[in-house]
Amino acid sequence: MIEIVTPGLSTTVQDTRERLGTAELGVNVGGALDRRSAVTANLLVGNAPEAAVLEAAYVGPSFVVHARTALAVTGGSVDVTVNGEPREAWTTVELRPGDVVGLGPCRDAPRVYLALRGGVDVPVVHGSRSTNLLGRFGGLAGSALTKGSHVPLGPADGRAVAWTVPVEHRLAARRRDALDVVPVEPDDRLTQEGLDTFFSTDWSVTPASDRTGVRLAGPALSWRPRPQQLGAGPDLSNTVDGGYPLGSIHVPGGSGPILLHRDGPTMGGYAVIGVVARADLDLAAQNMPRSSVRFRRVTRPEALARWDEYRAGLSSLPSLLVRA
Amino acid sequence: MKTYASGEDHLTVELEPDMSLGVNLRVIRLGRALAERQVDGLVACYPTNASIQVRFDTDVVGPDEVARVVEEVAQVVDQEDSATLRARVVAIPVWFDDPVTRACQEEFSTSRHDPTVDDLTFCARVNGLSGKQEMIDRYAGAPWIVSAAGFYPGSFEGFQLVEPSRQLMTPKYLSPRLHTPERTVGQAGCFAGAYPYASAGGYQMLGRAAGPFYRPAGDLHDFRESPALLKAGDLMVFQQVDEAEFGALERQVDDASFRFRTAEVELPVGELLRDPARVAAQVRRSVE
Repeated sequence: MIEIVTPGLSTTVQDTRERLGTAELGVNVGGALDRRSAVTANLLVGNAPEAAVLEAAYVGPSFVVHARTALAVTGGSVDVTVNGEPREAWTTVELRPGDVVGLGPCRDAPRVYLALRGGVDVPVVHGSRSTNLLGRFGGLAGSALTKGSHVPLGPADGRAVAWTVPVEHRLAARRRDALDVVPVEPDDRLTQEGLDTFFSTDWSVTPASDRTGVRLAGPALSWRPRPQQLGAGPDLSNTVDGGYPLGSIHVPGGSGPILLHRDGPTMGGYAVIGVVARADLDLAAQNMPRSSVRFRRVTRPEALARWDEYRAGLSSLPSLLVRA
Repeated sequence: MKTYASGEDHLTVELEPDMSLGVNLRVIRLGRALAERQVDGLVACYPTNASIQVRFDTDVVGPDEVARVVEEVAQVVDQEDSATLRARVVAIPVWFDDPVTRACQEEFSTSRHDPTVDDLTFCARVNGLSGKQEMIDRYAGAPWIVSAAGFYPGSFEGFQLVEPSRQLMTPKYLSPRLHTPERTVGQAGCFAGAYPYASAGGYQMLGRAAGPFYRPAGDLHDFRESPALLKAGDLMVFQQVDEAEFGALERQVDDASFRFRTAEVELPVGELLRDPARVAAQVRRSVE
């Protein structure tokens, strides 16, 4: 067990199992936004890839260790200290009872992951241990960590082995110039000019971005005129409320696209203009506010090929770890 | 019916671009038929208003195969002319024109079309009704089908079982409120909706429900199997209660003895579309 001293801005328990078939409850798939970083952290401490970890936004937590365990911190670059001494991120750190661990603010990406040996041991709800903040379930009683929270850890087996991830396989080295987007087939909502603007703009990530989605600022997009649909809102960006796939992009009012992430609404009344490639969902969640994001138009087969590469990359992660 | 891939692993099935009772009944029946049929590679099926979002496993099937299966099942569903829809009816006790939503209306008066009147009066006026009580009578007078469930945990939209000429229509607030009291019941466009917990929102606020719409603790009878009260295809009957009844029901919620009045009905689909008033009256009686 660890005991939280300072919780950070918003630190929650998340795993990499998706909640399926819960859309009708208004419950989205949930889980770690940057799955590859979460899985990497787990492997560094000898956990199963799908073990529950802590996901911290912008500022990491500090905590006291109550039983022997091991820690790995991945995701955005962040300073890690144990009893005031600096330690390496992306590396196994052995912890003893009484140790005080501190994390600083995130420098280059908004989310860090903390895996602890044994995994965070909370009940599985609707198929996952992930915290659903709006639904008030999963994780630690459905809430973000607070000062004094006790984070229970599962039983750990195996010998303590210290691993590290070479720099070229860390998040900072995986950055891409653009996020791949598959436009939705009936391209009849935005004008050609609107679509071209969408794919040629350097969008600015706004601080309102969170686990529900990445909110962007930039130029207005133009829409094709269309008759008012019964049951839809009055704006050209509106449609009769329908299901939102994970990673879908909509543009309320024609300006300020929103990329919906794992805790986003399950449905809504804005036309989906495209869907981010599954392979780029991790990176989509790791852009700092005020940084810029570009989108690249890809076909569905291109996105599928990248998904295969992404999964092969996850499978090969164990072979990328080296002895620390 | 139009089907198209949305990203890598979703197929959007758009039955109609416009909302109507007829299209929603088809969506709900098709959604149920797809869920019952064990389709290889079909991961989840999400019926909402006039469309269905189908998620599939890209290692097993592609969008074209899924679309073929959907079209096949849709043909069978659409051919059943004597079809019925099994539906759960839930009576929802509402204190209309209550002080909590009235205070919230005052707080966000600058977001409203006409700050000089309350939301009920405004809704009555835009629908050509005589005043508040007629608006309440119309809202509570005919059941609403839960045409889509979701958005955020426990939320939903309802579409009223009335002839198109009697459809209530109200605009949303001019700009969203920063908060809305928990259990507020309201309307936007042609839809009824509720706020399961305090949150931002733009629906016109008509009153408050005595019982919850979302209860992850599962302590109340109606939430033992699901944290959300309503799912697509359920029928809601709003029942007007006064302050004293509302208070008594809230105390039942507090001591966990509260139960919604519910019933099961077989909705005759064809008759419902031909003569909604007759079927609506039967549904209302089932929970009186």
